[in-house]
Amino acid sequence: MSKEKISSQEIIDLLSAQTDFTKRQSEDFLKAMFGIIEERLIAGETVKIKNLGTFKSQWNESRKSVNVQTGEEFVIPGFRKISFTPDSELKNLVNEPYAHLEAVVLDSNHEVTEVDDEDTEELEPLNILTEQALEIKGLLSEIQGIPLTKDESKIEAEATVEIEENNTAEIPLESIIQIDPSTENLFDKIQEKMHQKSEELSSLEVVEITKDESEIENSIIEIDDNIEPELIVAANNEESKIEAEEEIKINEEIKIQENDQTETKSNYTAPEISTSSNVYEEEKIENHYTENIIENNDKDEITSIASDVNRVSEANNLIDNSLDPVDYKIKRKSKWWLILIIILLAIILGLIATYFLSSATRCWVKYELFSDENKEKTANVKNNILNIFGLGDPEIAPKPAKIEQDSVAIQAVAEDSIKVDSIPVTQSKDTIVDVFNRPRVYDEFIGTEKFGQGNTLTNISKKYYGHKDFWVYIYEANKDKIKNPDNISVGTSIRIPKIDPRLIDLGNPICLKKAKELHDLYIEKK
Amino acid sequence: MNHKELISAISSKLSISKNEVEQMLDTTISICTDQLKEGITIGFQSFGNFEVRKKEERLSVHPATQIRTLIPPKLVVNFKQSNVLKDKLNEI
Repeated sequence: MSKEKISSQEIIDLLSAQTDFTKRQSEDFLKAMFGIIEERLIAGETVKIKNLGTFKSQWNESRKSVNVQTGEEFVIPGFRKISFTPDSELKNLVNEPYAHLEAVVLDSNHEVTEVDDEDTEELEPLNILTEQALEIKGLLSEIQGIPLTKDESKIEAEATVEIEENNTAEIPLESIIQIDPSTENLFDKIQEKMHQKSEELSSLEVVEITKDESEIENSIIEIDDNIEPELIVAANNEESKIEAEEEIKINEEIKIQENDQTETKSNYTAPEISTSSNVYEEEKIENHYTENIIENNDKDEITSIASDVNRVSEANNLIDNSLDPVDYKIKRKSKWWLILIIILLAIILGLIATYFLSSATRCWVKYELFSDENKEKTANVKNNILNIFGLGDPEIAPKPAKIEQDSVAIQAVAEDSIKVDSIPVTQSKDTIVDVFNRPRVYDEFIGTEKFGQGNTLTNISKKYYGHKDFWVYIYEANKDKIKNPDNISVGTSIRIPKIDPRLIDLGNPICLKKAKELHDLYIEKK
Repeated sequence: MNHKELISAISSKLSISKNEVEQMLDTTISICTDQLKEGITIGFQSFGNFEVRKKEERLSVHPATQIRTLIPPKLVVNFKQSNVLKDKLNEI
């Protein structure tokens, strides 16, 4: 950059050349201009000139400094100075040669490459890095060199490669080649044997798996819904049924607990089933329960099944045992063979199992959804669901007497049979829905509270019913006194109604849901 | 004090029309910017020097995020007041 300097005289010359004014006029003008600027600045004003910039007089506070040569401390007295901030236009014009440069965010040392050539200091670490990278590359190539050459020297299959990898290139080439043929033969033999065995195994296991699958599905669906097509199917197909019972036996401990729960529920809810068809179905189901009980009692059958299972497991063990010696031989040669074979076996078994599992489920789903019988049942289920949400047909009349009998029977059955689970649950749900739909009558009261001083409806509700959302019932009981639940005058005495415990069952999400619905209703209404 | 006030002040002082003053002022500024663009220092006697300085590129580290940013080099106009002006300022 040239460090030329022009004085005001040259500016005057240029000015007079570019305008019609004489040099004298120009000089006068310049003098006047700077005179005025000076004047204003001394007065403490800021002077702003378009396209040039802003002059500002600035006060620099006195500060301490040190004489560099003597080390003496001295105070620089405060002084005023003119600061000049160039206009953005001037700034851009002046900075044109570097305008294309932008601030670069640096993530790593690599981006230092973008720096201009001038700063060689910053490039040094880069050079070091590249040197290191080259060194590492060299090391890597040395390491890789050994296995690579081996690969080239051999045409043998993965088997040999396996050995190489495991022994990490410590074995000389010749020895491996010597071992190779024998191991290869062995490998082939083993693979053949393995295939045979795995096929046997899989064929056996597949049968089991498919059976187990259906059982599991059956049990799951029995618990989840009140669909019992599986039961009917089971009745038709005794073997599978017995196996289902087996399944149940395994899970008995857990399910007994569930039974207890459902029993307690069914104790205080007179089980009500809305549709007559449902009642009919229930009876049907009960028949099955009794059958089940009988079959349960027939321990011979179960033991026979158990023995069957034992046999199957024995067979499995046999297969495993037969595999063992083979594995042992391999162990002698190389312990890595064992791992390889086990992995292969596991993969094959896994693939077959998944295939059959998926196909079994597919079949089952098809059967479930598309058979005519089941369509009827699903329709029933839909009815039930509608009832739960209070949308069922109004004509659906509860038949308490019959159901009481049923419930007694169910309770009797419940101890032994697990399939009862679903029914009491749904029944209890139905009754709760009915309780909700029934108009609530508040004639019994368990206390009175005065409103105000933190005694809000929600707080009272929490105190008496255990949850603040149940305030709606208090409001309902005191509708004659409370006009707006959001604005209750202080001192209003509120009667706390006695509420059906089913309505304020904290363990039941339906209660909370219902209370929330009511809450929305009342809050909107106001 | 802004541009217009300066023009009116000069015109009253020199008893020239405002248009003429404006013309002269604009020309002066354009000359100055042209010179500065070329990197030439302009020295006004008894006022100060306008100088173009190069600010070298630098690495700035954001204190909070630790993001390092390379600020490119740039040219800026610097004004240094003359000693005469400085003395005048500090006389008060």
